[in-house]
Amino acid sequence: MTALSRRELLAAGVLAVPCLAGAQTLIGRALASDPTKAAGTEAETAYDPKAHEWGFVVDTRNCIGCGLCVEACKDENHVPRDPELNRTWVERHTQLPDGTLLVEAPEAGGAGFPVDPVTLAPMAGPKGDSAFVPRLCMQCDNPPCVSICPVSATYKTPDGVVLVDQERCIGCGYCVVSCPYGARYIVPSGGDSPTGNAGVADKCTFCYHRITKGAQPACVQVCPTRARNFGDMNDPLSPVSILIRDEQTVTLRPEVGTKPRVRYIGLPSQEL
Amino acid sequence: MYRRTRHDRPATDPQPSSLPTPEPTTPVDPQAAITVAPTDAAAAVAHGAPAPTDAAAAQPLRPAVTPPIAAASLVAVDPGPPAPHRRGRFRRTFVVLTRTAVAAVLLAVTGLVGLALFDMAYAQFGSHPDKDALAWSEHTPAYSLDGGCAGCHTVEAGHVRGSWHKDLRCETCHGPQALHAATATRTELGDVAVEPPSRDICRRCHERVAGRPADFPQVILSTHYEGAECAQCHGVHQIIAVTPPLISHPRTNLPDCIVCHAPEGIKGLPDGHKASTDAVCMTCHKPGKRLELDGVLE
Repeated sequence: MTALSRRELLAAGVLAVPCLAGAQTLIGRALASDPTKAAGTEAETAYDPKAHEWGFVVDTRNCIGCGLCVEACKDENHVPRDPELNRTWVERHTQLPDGTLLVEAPEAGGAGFPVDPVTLAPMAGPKGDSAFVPRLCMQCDNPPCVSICPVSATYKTPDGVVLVDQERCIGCGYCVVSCPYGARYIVPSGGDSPTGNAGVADKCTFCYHRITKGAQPACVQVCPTRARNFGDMNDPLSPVSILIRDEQTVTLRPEVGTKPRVRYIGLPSQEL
Repeated sequence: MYRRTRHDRPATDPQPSSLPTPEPTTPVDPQAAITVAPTDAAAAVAHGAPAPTDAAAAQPLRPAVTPPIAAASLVAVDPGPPAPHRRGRFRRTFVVLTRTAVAAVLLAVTGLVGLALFDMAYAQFGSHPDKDALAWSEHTPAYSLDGGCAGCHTVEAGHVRGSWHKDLRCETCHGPQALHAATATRTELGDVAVEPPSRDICRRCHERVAGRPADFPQVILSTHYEGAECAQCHGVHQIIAVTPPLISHPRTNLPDCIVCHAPEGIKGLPDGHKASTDAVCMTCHKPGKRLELDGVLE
């Protein structure tokens, strides 16, 4: 055997680096070329999360409080039937004569609303200053739930959706209490469950299985009055881009610094 | 001083390059080296063997670099005849490259095995947002992605398109298509049917409730033909606005007279009238005419 001098070993190493890199590139190209030719259409239609930036605009001026969105969400995402546990819900905000704000969401708004917020009796006509406010996860750009999760089970996707890895979640509930919007719940055992797991955190995903296939979230699709609007903010012609451009939109609780992706139009003036 | 030509040193010289080698200004005569260190085996081998390709050439040199005779050996091995060692250099390069290739393959195999073991043992508990997001995106939708109801239900879809509900999706009233696909047959409508289209469906949107926009069509249920089904006047899929039939009765989109004017109907028959057919009613009551409270035709 020939002993190598230090110089020769170094020279061999320096030579080996570009050789190996070149070989790896060639092999990589050889491997990549076949699948793209075989499944070219699939590669073209594959979902690219970096190409989208999803946004949601709630136009409360249009909301009629029918609650069909709440029902649709439960059907679509196997959310537990318990009216306390929801990915989305509808509130009615009423300015009472004494100046206080009454917020009510009977059965999360999923079964409609009593005709009168105070007496629950049929009313003769519009009375007081009431408005319906659909609620859902704000898909914050600066989400406290992601920061607080001790096991990194909840995370932000490149297209702007906050998701929960329910295989990894340990169900500690920190995210549930850290959310300023109350948008999360812990899946109870024995009922419907979005992924079949119980004892884990769950929340609105913008119907990630629908939007990645080019469809609208279920709540947006069933909304009869276009109170819920969804689209790609990268697309200047999407409904959300047009609404954000043409209307004055606000976010809920801007003071907590979460930078919500869900924006509102026409919130009752006393809440601004 | 730090420049050294290739001919200064024989190719087989295993002299470590880091050693500060005194550079002779003129080539030293090899014979002189032998005279300085006559017992040095290295010097003898370096000159005796034309192509020392193995350890035999390198090993004996090592003792020569020991401190007592370092100066002498440095002088001895540095200069050498360059010409006879070309073949040895080539062969050595080949050996080096072969070894490098073998080492690279070994490294790659070890790395792959290590990665596989890591993935099996530890990494399954790690955080994998990409995999999880992909899993979320593969859930099965319950509501149709493309609203493809009109493919079969062409008549109903056509009616809806010509109605006030033209912007609504079928599933808004009928519920998720997945339930329909799971239960419906040709004779059975399954869970998507709204049968009959009752006040409970319509009131979700059209009952007057605090908070609804003032310009949205809504009625006070207790005073709006209590007991009648909405579809009797407003239709099912072909929903159109109906002028309130309190005064005039335009015969468009209206049911038979006795639907509302039967004895047990919304507005019961006056004394002396019997429930009959539209044709009998209209022998006296002309459609579209105003009917006085006492029942006398105007």
